[in-house]
Amino acid sequence: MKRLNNKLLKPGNFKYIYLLVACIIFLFPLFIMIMGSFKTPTDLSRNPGGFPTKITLENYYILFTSNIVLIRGFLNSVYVTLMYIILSTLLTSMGAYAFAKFQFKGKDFLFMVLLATMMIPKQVLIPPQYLMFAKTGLLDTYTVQIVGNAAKAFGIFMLRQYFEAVPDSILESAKIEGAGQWTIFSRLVLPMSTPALGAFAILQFNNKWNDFLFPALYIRNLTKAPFMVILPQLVTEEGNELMVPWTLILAGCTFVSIPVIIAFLFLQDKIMTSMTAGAVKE
Amino acid sequence: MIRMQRDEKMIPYLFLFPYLFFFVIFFIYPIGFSFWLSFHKFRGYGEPVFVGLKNFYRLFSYSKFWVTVGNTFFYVIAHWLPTIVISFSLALAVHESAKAVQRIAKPLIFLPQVIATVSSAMIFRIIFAKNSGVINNLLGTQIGFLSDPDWMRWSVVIMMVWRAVGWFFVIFLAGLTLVSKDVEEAAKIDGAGFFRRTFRITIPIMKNIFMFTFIMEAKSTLMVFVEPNILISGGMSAPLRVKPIASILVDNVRNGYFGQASAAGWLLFLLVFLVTIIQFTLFRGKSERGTNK
Repeated sequence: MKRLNNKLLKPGNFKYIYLLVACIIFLFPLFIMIMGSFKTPTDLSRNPGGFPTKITLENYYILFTSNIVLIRGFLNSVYVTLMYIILSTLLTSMGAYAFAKFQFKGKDFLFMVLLATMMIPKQVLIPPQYLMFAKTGLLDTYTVQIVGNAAKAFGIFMLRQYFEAVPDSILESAKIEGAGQWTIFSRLVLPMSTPALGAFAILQFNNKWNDFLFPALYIRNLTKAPFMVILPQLVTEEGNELMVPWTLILAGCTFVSIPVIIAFLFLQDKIMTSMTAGAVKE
Repeated sequence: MIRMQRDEKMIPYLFLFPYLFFFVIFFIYPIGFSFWLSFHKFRGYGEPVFVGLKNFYRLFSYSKFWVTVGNTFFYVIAHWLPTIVISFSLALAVHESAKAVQRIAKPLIFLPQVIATVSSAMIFRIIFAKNSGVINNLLGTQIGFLSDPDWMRWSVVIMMVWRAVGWFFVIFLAGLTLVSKDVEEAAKIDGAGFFRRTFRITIPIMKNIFMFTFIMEAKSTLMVFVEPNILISGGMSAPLRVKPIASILVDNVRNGYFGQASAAGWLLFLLVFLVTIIQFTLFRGKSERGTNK
């Protein structure tokens, strides 16, 4: 036994102990979230950090039947995020293709403008956008959530790099065979670029799904609001800390996080590279 | 023939058009509008009144504004050091580990990154709660992590560290694989131990990556809004003690002071711009890592 202990405590194993401790600490909040979603409110307040004393599905029952505002928010988020990804990927890939494969008047100027706007904090857009949307009746709509920030500069840079790597000879030979520019783009370039489009879509998903500030200001009608705006409302609307339905909130958090976590575990390398390699942090 | 050439010339514009349409309406126009607003008094109705630099002047003369500037800088600096120490040491540990351990540890350490900020803030409210929070329950105490002015900002920082480590960790891990194997081998033959190797060779080589991560993180933290607000107040109106600069903008929008809000936005831009200038001076001529990839 002692020998085993010595073996485990070899200096070379220190890194494994460190990693184990770090992983436990880092995953502990997720453990609290998932375990808490199966607890009764009294169980959560008595034992917030441990396993449930008795597993209950009550919170999920409430989530799906009586307090459906969160599910509504979830569906809103799914719809808005999906449409946003489709729209922004289409717009951005077309724009990036023009930059990658064509020479045209004003290209350098446009490029500089795009580069310069990347420095502007997105919050700068809030006061004018709010006024614009209020005036055009776009507040409290899905449209504003989908269209609002669909054209962002960084996507052009990200996809342009990739499109530039598509060999010109392939495009030329398709042209000689009589394919139109749109056919070349949609049937040849896009399918060849699925990895880049995927990476872009992941980033866009992450931005839209997590977005709080913009929808919180532009969407006051909760039937159209995304999940991330509705969730914190459960904390503030009661005003009384003791009345906050924490177990329900945790069930909601678990419900929206599990699909993302599963997707992450399947696509981990792809997600990690696209969230870090482009080094665009929002 | 001429006709055909004209068509060819139109093609890039046709591809660009949809993007530019949205970009101009929802980005360029608001930027100009916002700049214009920052010199006007406008409450959303009636005629805007030109007030010159008064919006900026008023922000500067509010002690409240300077508190938010202080808070924001506090967040930038206080969360960076622990984040970098934790994530670099984790990257080193993973880098030195067996392949199988790497495959498991890497995604687990990154995992907090994929949890939405708002959800994370909810979980951390339970961790930090005064009555029956996880930490107070464990310690048998009643510390007001979310209500005591001495603690509040640190609670925000702890959550920020938890959320940031995964991102830094993956970047550092990639950096470590770039550190040339030859240099490491040479150090090994020289008999340099792990710590000597790390401090004498690895860290100096990775200096640029450290600088780069600091600048990226500083830029995004200057714009922080969700973490302090949702964690401390559950909404958009956190107490002044934790308010970031972005809160000044948001509060003004919610109260209908659009000129004042725009001015706050442009001051925020000025700060981000300064950091960007520092970034370009530091990385000019060096590796491309400072720009896009």
